[in-house]
Amino acid sequence: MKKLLALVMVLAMLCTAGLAGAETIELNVAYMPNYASLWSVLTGINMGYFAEEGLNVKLVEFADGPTIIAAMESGSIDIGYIGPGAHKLCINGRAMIFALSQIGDSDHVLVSKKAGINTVQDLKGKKVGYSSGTSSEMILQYALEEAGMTMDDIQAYEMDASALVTAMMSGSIDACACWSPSTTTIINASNGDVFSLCSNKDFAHRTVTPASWIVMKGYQEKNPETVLKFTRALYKAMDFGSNPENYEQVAKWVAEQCGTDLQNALDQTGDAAWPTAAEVIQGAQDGTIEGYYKVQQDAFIASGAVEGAVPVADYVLFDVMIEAGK
Amino acid sequence: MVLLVLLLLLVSFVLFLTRRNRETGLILALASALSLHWITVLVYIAKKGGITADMETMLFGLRQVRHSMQYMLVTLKQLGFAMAVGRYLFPLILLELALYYSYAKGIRNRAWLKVAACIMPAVSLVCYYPPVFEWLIDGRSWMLRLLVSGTQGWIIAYLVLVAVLIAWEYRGITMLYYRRFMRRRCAMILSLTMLYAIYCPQDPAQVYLFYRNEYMGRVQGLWYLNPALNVGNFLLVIAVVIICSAVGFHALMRSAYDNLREGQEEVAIQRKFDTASKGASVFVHSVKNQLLANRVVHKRLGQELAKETPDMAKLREYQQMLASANDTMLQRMDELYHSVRSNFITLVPTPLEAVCQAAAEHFARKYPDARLEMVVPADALILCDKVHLAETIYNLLTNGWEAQIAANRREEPLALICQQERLWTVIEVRDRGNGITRQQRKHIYDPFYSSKNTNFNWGMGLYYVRATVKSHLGVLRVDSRPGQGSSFFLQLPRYGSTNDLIEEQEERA
Repeated sequence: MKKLLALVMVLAMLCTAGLAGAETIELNVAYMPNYASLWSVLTGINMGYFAEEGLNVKLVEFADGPTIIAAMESGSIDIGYIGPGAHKLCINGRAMIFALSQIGDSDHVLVSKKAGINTVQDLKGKKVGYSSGTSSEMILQYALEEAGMTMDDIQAYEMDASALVTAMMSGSIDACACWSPSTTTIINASNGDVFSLCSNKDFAHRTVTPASWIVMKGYQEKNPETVLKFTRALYKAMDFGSNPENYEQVAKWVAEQCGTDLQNALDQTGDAAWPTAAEVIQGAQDGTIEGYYKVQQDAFIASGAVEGAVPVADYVLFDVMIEAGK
Repeated sequence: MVLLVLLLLLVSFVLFLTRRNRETGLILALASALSLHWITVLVYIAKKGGITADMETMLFGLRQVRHSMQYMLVTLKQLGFAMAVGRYLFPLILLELALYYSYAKGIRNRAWLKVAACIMPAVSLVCYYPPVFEWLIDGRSWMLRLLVSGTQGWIIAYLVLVAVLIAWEYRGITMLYYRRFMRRRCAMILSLTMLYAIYCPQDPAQVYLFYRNEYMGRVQGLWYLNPALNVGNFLLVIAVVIICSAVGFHALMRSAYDNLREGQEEVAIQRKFDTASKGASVFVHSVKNQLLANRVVHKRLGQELAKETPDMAKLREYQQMLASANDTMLQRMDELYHSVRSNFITLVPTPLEAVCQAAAEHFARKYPDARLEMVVPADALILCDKVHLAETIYNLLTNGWEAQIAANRREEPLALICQQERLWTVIEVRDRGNGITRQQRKHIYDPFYSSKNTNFNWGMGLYYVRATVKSHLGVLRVDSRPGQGSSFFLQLPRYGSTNDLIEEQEERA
């Protein structure tokens, strides 16, 4: 009788474990191989915050935000991270923002001294590489506009983010617009020849450069609870990652994920102000974050990247940001 | 996948080097177009990411391979156009190859068809040159849709046409030997097309117009980064491609090797024949033996005649022996002379049936007990020298029957089968002997080579057969299975039918 009872209990436990396993939600999450994209999501995975919410996060690497959005449209990705440039696609209704990641300063216009470039005006007629549709294109356009120039004044070479690094290091192009950690790689490899002509900070009067977590509208409508759970876990991770004492630990995880050395990851910890969960929740409640996105949208409209104004609430899910904090 | 693509390219290159003709040139071009298409797709995937670790291993093998492709210095417009070149050249070359294989009356030798096939790929390549493409679609989204759908449409049409042409051609082949060869070619073509089909529906302009609203999910999905096949199915496709390609390339390589060997043999045979040392040796040895035997008979004859009362019966016996030996020597010398003299053959339209009949009668005189099955189209005509060709077929029949005797299969018939096969009239002599070993095949066409007793055979038969077939602008092929028998195929240029000849004569009259 005892044996039978033990058997029944073992079977019951197995069934319970099976049911518990079935409740775990698998999530394909898109990222870019840099600190800004990974600081919170990797912390969430390694600290077990996603597991606590019943989420099994599977990371998939992409080169840039627009590609991530395209992958989400095709259904292979559930949740993604985008940099500032891809936000125009959200404004155009392609995806919904459900969490702010950080306000970054990682985009730069890099130039070569050997090519005789010391100011933006010197870019006239030079070979300049950029990555279309991303913050790379955005910062290059801002720099040219401030100097009274347009893309027609330069020899523009449209490349992917990786090719920009190779092109600059081989001297095939005279300047490029790209983001961290490519900027650090290029500058370090140039032996003092390449320097940053301008970065996001130089255009703070025109726009802000938020990076965000996004989801497809359809996915959000079908899985609101999953998005909320993800955001809750993300908040816990942000609290851990925004603490300067934990920078090194997070940098280790990032270096391991990207296959780079620790110093490279540590160098990127200065690319942004890493917010806590409370700051995001507060910002969502008092309209600060809405203000960021509005300024950004206005800048896109001014540059012609977005045709007309739309209410920020149409593409930013403030209720998720607030609800996840409760 | 990178390895597989490079391997296909390498094998097709080796095939082309081994045998340089239109077919191998087209196969090399086909593999090159496929490689270009695949490598550019892989570079794009390496740069854009969005694949799982399993898929990355399957596509690139080592991470370093992906890394080097990711950092390849190429602009997106260059990459997109290179992808378009591979995408549009593959179906064109495939169609050219199918046209090359086709012997259908309305298609063969129609040069304008080959030129017409180039129109759509050429137009597409011009349209997909990035500056032209951007100019064409500027403010005209309907044009973008037209180009995307139009190119997809003609690619599918070309692939369907290729399938129809090859299926039609395969259906038209009746002889198993040629059917088997064609089947292997089809397997290779199918495997290359399977690889092409994985990414061919995707539009290459997306690479440099990725961020346009029309592309972002409206015109196309994200096919390059979101493959239709999962890792398991991908591996299955790779396995099928490897097997089919191996079968096809093996058949082509074997054919190329046969031709190469034939060319080498040509030189070797000529050299051997020019020196004639071996031949002279065989001839002298054989004749000397015969003369020595005659001397013995002469001696006995002299001894008998020296007697007071010679035994007439013995004398008659010795006389008959000498006469028989003399006849045999004369006959063999005639055959040798026939084989090696400088021939002038006269090619005239001749009924195939008459040639085969002459060969069969000659064969029947030598081996009256032999069984011979003949299948000859009644109205087939060939351009030939009847005497030489009949002698050639007789030689093959004799060899075949002697092979059956050696294999102790006298009760089984020898076969002489003639068929009109595409551009050829094929005469097959099929025996059920012991077959020819790989080692023997290297020497069977050598003059003075024989696997039989050289006292009765000078080994000139197949040398003569080969020379005669060549002088008829034909090709000699052999297919042999050790222990089961051999088939010799005389491929002669197809000429027509007796009905054609009658019509022609009537017209002249």
